[in-house]
Amino acid sequence: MSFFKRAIISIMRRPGKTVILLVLVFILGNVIAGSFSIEQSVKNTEAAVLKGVVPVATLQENYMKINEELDRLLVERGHGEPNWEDPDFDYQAYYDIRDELYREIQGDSVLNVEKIEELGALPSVDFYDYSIMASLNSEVLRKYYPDNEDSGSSGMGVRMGMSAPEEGERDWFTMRGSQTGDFLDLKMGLIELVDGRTFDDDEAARGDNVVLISEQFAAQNNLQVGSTFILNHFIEVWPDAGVARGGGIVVERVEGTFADDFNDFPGPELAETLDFEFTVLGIYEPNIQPTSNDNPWEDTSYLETERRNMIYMPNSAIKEIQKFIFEEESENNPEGWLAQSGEPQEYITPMFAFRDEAGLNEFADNVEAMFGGYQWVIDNELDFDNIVAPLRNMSGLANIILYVGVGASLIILSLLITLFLRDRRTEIGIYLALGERKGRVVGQILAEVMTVAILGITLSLFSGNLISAALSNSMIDNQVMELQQKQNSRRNAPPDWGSDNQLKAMGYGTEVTLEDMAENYKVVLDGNIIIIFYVGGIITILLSTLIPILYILRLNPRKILM
Amino acid sequence: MALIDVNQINYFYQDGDTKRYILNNISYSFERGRFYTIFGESGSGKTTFLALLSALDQPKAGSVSYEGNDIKKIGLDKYRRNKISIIFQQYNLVPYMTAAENVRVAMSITDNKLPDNLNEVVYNLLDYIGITRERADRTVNKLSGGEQQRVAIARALATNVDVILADEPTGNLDDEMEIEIVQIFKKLAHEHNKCVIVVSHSSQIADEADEVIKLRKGNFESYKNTSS
Ligand SMILES: Nc1ncnc2c1ncn2[C@@H]1O[C@H](COP(=O)(O)OP(=O)(O)O)[C@@H](O)[C@H]1O
Ligand SMILES: [Mg+2]
Repeated sequence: MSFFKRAIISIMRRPGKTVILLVLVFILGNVIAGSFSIEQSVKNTEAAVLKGVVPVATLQENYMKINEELDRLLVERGHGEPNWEDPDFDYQAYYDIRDELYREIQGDSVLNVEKIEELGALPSVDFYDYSIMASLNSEVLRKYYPDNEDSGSSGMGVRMGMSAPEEGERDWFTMRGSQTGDFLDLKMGLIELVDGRTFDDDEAARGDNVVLISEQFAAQNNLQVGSTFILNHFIEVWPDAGVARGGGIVVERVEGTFADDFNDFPGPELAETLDFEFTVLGIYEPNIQPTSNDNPWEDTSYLETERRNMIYMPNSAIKEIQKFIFEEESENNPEGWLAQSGEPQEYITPMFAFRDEAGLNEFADNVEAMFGGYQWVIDNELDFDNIVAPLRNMSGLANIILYVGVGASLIILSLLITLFLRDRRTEIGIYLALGERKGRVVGQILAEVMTVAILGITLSLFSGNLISAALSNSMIDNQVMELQQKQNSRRNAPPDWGSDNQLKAMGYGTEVTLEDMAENYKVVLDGNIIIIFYVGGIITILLSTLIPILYILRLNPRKILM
Repeated sequence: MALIDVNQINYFYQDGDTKRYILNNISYSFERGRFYTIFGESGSGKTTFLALLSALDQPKAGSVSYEGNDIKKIGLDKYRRNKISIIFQQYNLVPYMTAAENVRVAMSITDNKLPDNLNEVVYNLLDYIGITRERADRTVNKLSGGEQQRVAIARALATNVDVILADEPTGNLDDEMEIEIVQIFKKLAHEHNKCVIVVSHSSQIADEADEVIKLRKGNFESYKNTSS
């Protein structure tokens, strides 16, 4: 009769004790299995949602703060509010003062290439790049418009996406520059090169007009790798009208209705057409996730159209183009807004990528220090924090319950097993008096406890999972409701207006909503969880038998039996 | 050579700072085939002496040898496992096991060579000691005191050892039962060539023994010695 057989006899012949141990392990096991599977499920859900999401940020001028400062200074220096009723009010002078003050406030906080490079060198930044953009036109080439192909797909009928212009009308194209051929969109998989190559460092440095175009745009216009195409800039002059600065025209106050006046209003006249020739280096396929949003008011299909027609090229080439446009505009249309602005258009959009959220937070602090709050940090995880918050809260709670459960199990099981063994002192004394090796006596007790415990663990694994699934789903629902109103908490971030965000427009959104996350959350019982739970459970039981085993080893059979 | 030699053993209990001597330089030899009774008043140290013989305790000085080897060299657990069997006043059986299972437990612990047909041996042994097959399969807490002590004796015999040590084996039994048990001990010594050492304050047992030793004031006094 081996010690294992003795263990089995003990379990069978002492059903009361066996059931007490089984029930206790089952109850504790439920607590542990439940909290553990919640914790694991949160991890899985987070990992699934976070997969491939790298924190990315760009900067945007904090116009709210600048405007506040501007209003303050206007009052302080006695310029005050313009009096719209006063026909003699000098708007020109007023706007001149405003512009001057604006530049004064911006001061050192203007974002330029040096500042971007300084930020890019920060240890928190993993990768950085910046884009100069250009917009060119064509009367021949056509964008690819997804809606033209499957206009029935939107469900609600009308989509806000654009449709192709008529024959001979102009279409416009966005060129996005980069310092390097291995730019972020390519790195992050927003686009995938399917043919040709991206530009190399020499081409980037020289400013060659070499471009990457999308598969759809290429097909639409019958372009291949090696093809060349021409885009234009049309210099148009407005005859005589009161040309104002700041990119608008001021409609003179005239009699009659606005609509009548508008129809009579003379259109611009074409002064010059600039040709730019581009060589196709590579063809890419944009990686666009289908959006499930059927609400026409939140339709973002125009962004999709933009991404499907984006032309990537070196910054230096775009700079050349902008410079040439400025020179030609200044010469042919000196009254135009571009000539009047005094410099080529070079809006710079920086992009910073981080290893993790901590890097992003550190970066945000650096930006705050460098720009004194005049630059917002726009990141692609803006609402990610909010999305994972309910899960993390629950995971935190589950974590506490897990530790408390394991601790309680250790104490309760240690006590219970020791108590049971006290009842069996004589039996153990007999084995020892008969000369049984202590290791085998310990082995028998372990076998007894383990057999019952593993049964209890197995039962609780499944029931604990069911309980935690029900519990955590209702917890998440509650938290989702609570958190839906909350706002972004990063210090120098713009106010949260909902889903609109410059980075999202560029394809860097997380594409996950609170509801998605809640829906994705599932308490699953995968192989890993089962293995970890068994191993953890067995270790816990083993630790619980430590005190009882010490008790056995200390037993003196003479004192018990004689 | 004697089977068990006790050489100059001393034993005392520590009572605070004072040592209370129970056994003073006792030496004795025990042979195969003889039935010994150690006799003495309650509190004279009989149980203590048996504990030293059975390696459940160790002398403060002196040694116990088995076939000329110090039992400490043999290993106390191993000595208990393979050389001796102990029968207690309180029977000390595993209460939730059957009679047969209690015997089997001892057989599974010893390293001694045992017959292959263990099951049969167990029932025969129990039958020999007076436990029928039907009672052999009952859990022992359903048996009478006399039956339980028979099971304990069967367990002592099952491991095929030469030395049977018993501490007041009939202390909880009536006279009739005592006579039967004593006859078993006699048979074990004389027919099976065992060395049987029984500690008792019962004169009835002393009457049947080959050798009776009186323990008094920590010393052995030879009381009766019938040569075999
Ligand atoms: N663990 C102990 N601690 C102290 N004194 C003890 C202990 N065990 C026994 N004694 C004492 O030792 C003496 C001998 O005890 P014991 O060997 O049990 O005698 P017997 O079996 O002859 O009645 C007794 O006086 C008893 O009180
Ligand atoms: Mg005694």
